[in-house]
Amino acid sequence: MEIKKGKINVFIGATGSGKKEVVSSLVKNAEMNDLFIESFKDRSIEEVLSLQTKSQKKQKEALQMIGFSEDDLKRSLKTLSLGELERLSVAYTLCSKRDTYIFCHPSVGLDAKNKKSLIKLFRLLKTRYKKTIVVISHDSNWVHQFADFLFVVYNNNVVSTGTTYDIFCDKELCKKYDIKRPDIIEFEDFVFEKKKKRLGYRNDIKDLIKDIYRNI
Amino acid sequence: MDAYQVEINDQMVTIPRDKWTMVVGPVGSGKSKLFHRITSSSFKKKFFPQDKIILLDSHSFFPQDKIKKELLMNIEDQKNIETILKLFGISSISTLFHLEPSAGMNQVLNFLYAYIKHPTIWILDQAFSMIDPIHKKKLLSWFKKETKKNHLTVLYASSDPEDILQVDQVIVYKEKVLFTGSKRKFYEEEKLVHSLGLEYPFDVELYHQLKYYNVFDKPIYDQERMIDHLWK
Repeated sequence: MEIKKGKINVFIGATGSGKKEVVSSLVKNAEMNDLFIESFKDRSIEEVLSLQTKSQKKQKEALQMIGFSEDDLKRSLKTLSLGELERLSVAYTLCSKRDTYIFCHPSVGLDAKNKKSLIKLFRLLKTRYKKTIVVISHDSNWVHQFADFLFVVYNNNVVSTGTTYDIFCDKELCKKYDIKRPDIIEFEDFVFEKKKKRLGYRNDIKDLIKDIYRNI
Repeated sequence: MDAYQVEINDQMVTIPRDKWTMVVGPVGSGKSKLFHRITSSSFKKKFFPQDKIILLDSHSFFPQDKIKKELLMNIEDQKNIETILKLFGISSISTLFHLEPSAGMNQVLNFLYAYIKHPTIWILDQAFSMIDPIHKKKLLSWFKKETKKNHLTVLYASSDPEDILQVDQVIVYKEKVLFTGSKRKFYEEEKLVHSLGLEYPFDVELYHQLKYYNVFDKPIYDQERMIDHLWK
């Protein structure tokens, strides 16, 4: 089993299912973000990014990609919120020269606006920079919007793989492995169950709204 | 007294006793700083003199060995500890000693360790952020019953908009309090919420987006009622 090169691969599974261990065993020569940078709280952003690259240009580029400015380089990590630390850990990962990036729970602590920005970033890394992206996340509503391929992890094994349609539309599979289905899909199923109306498979609420309006 | 009157950045804010209050705000809005201030000894002395407060956040954990030992030795709360561990597939407290916990499991252990200290005010700052949604919902449901039974007050911050469904009151915070009120009133603050880059629980978000098509004559935030109304 391999991750899909040049795609956004998402590993999902319940707490304790072994997602991180599975990813570590499957994915080699990759850079993983981790909030271990929390342990560098006495340092500045510049000092932490310098652990990855001495190139100021690369540091500034990475910061801009996550919505920070180059003025933030001198900021101490102590001044950062959880969400900002999470974004910084993404920038830290981006400073490496790898072709594969692993992002571990990158949406934790992020508001809706920043989660959308991360999606844009992943797509940019995939299409413009031809990187392979691996994301570990519980957030079905979020990954549903951008994942190319899902790996369902249970008991330290990958038990199922497929597109978001394959996985999230399989109610039995999701129930068996404690995967929360995206709210959009659960809504579509509920509409069919109650009113026998089939809405299209959507991963964005705006498209769902149009479907609903067309069908009422 | 059924509420605490607390001064936050020169504003008097009401925090209802024995209820859950969620603090929402964009990244970097100062929620965590606020929570740390609330747990400072001077703040506590002034506003919560009779209470025991505990703050749990997403990445500060009590030492694992200490947690496991104390959970094992605790007799008073053993039944509840085992109930929670079973939710996560752990058969008994002694199994913990063979466990290398994941990030989510660390948060569960942190929570249990705090639980046996019996605080009366809980401040949960993304404290369950690494737990998957299905198990988090079960844990929150159990904890809500506990807080009601034991008259506990909870201040809660989470980036998961669905968690708003669990709480009694919402505070919107960005360096100062921008809104305080019930969930229902919070649902009416669409402009404020979206201007801050935040989002509502799915059903509420759906209502707010559909209303521009003039399909509702009044707000409907319940999914089943919404479906019945749309497809009469």
